[in-house]
Order: sequence, then structure tokens, then C-alpha cells
Amino acid sequence: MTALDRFLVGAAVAVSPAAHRDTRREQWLADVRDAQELDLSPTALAFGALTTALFHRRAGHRSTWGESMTAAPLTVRATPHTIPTIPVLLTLAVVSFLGASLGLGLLQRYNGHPGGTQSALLVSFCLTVVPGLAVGLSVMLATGSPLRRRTMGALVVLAVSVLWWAIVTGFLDLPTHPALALGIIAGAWLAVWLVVLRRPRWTWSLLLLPIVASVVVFPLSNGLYGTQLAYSVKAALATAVDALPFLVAVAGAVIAARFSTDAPALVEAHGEALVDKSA
Amino acid sequence: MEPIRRVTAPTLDVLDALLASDDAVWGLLVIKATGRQAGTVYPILERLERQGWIRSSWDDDAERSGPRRRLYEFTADGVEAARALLDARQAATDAAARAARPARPTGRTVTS
Repeated sequence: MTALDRFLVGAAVAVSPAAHRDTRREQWLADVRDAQELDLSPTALAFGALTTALFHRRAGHRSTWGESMTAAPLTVRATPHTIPTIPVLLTLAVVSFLGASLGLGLLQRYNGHPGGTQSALLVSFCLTVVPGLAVGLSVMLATGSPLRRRTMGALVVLAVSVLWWAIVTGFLDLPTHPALALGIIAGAWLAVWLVVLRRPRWTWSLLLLPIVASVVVFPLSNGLYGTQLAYSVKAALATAVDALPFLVAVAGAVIAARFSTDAPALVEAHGEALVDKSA
Repeated sequence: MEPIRRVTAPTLDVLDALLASDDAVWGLLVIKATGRQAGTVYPILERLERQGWIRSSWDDDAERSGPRRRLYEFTADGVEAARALLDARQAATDAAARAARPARPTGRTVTS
């Protein structure tokens, strides 16, 4: 079992309801440990444990990611959709951001190359608009909120993305300290998520998290330019670390879902059903 | 035992995998048998257990040290209900196959 597998299982257990933690920890550690006996990927299993813990916690919450069949077995599709869509979209957003960071570094290396303008435009889109589209789509797919509310939320997310793109490309300057810019963008997205899903008021304090992360990352990002690394590497790394406020915003959204007191039966009475014969 | 409100294809696959064995089945074997993601199968197993279709227990293999494997088996009601659901799926699949089959030629000459 690798350190990553152990970390993923640990995270999955940590976000599980307290009543499930002991059982899940032992079960998932045993499964990940023995996965290779069945030619299964331990890391895929550990990731599955994490998605289980993150997205299957509430009574009435969708328990599988498969297509509904209800009464008529004829409606079963041969290849049902089984991917947890919102996590995949958010992963896509992060991958796009990190890919754009790499692209930005390469642009420094090939400065003046024909097609540089188009490449810079593509990189700026991947850095800002693509993550914004992914987040906006996630808002649209969120359950428990009326369509109109989700649509409005997604439009606000897209507007913020365009604003961010304008800042990145130099068309616009936010009238704030540069250290706050990323935190404001990530905080705005998180705020949309909280409003759309009608999270309780205390969760608004979570908006401080991306702001703080942004302030912390700013000197770190700038400090990278003072290192001895090649300029293209410095540019790529300095941009990549800017993902931190956004990751913190995602964590804030998870915390808001995990600890919201108005969430229906967040901790299910699930442990009772787990029969331990060995006891 | 509570009825399953949404019977999904992955749920039927999990039921099928559990029915394939007379004994309690290790959860990981269910994942392997269904060919589905762990993040799909684990929640289904937990839901089926919560609704009283299956029960789970720890593997008591003393030779294996460390964390124990979780085994799953049907409850008495669960096994009957699972068979009924899978029979319904089989019947639906058969009906769909019959419907998709081209009509048998009658051999009668068509004249205009």
C-alpha cells in the first residue's frame, strides 16, 4: 500500500460519519491492501472509498451513480453512466488550470514563436474560462435546488470567470491588492455554491478560507521568481501554486456540506445495520 | 426489509454477484465480479445493508493479520427479492431481444 493509498483512505475515513469510521477504516484498508490479489488497482479502490465517503452520506441522497431503472427493467441501459460527475468536473477544472500553468511556462521558453498570440489566448482560456465552465456546470448539476436558482448561479460563475480572464490577460485590474485577487475569484465561486444550495449562514465564514490561501500563496508565488530555476519553470510553478485558493474553496464547499446543521440526516444511523459476527 | 426505490443497473449487477455465491462474499470480490468502480459498489453495498437486503460481517481468517475483510451475504428476505429483480431483468432482456429480432419470412409470394 503506497503512501497515497493510505492518505486517500485516511481522508475517506476522516470525512465519514463518526458512526461509520471504524468499520470503514478496517474494511477499506483490508481491501486496498489485498486489491492486487484480484488484479485491482489499490489506488482506484482508495479513490472509490474517498468518493463514497464524500458523496454518499445523506438519507435520500443518490446511492449509486447508475441510471435509474424504477419499475421497468427494460429501461436498463447497457452502459450506464456510473461516473460521479461533479468531482470529475472539478478535477477537470484543476487539470485545466495546471495544464495552463505548464503551457504558460512553455510560452516563456518559446517566446516570439509564430502562433504565440493564439497559444497565449488558449492558455488564458484554459487557466480561467475552462475551470469556470466546469464549476458552472457543477452548479447546474447540484441536487436540492430549483433549476432557476442553479441557472442563475451558473451564469454568475461564468461572469466571474470572464472577469478573471480579463484580469489575467491585462484588460482589467481589480481595485484591490493583487494578493487578494485569486481569493476573491475563488471566494465568489464558493459564495455562488453556498447560495445556490442554501447553506446556513455560518458557512459564509468559509469564504475567508480562499482569501487567506490567496494571501499566503501570493508571496510564495512571487518568491519562486527569485529562485535559480529556469524562467519557464519558475513561471509554470508560480502559476500552478495559484491553484491553492481554488482547492481551498472546494474544501470549503465540502466542509459546508459536511457540517451544515440543516442538512437532512447528515449522519445516518447506519452503524446499527453493520452486523459484526465476530463480536 | 425496505424495498429499493431506484433499482439501477449497477445495483442489479451487485445483487447478481452476491447471488453467485452461497457463502458470504468479500466486498472486493463483488467489485471485481461487477467490473464497476469501487465508488459505485461500496455505496450500493451500504445501501442494501441499510435496507435489510444483505448483512455484513468480518472475515474471521486468523491466518491473515492486520485489517479484516468485510463479507456480505443476503438476508432471507433479501435473497428472494434479489432473485425476483434479476428474473425481471432477464425477462425484460429476453423480451427486448425478441422485439429486435426481424420477423420470420412466411415464404408466401408477394404479388402486386
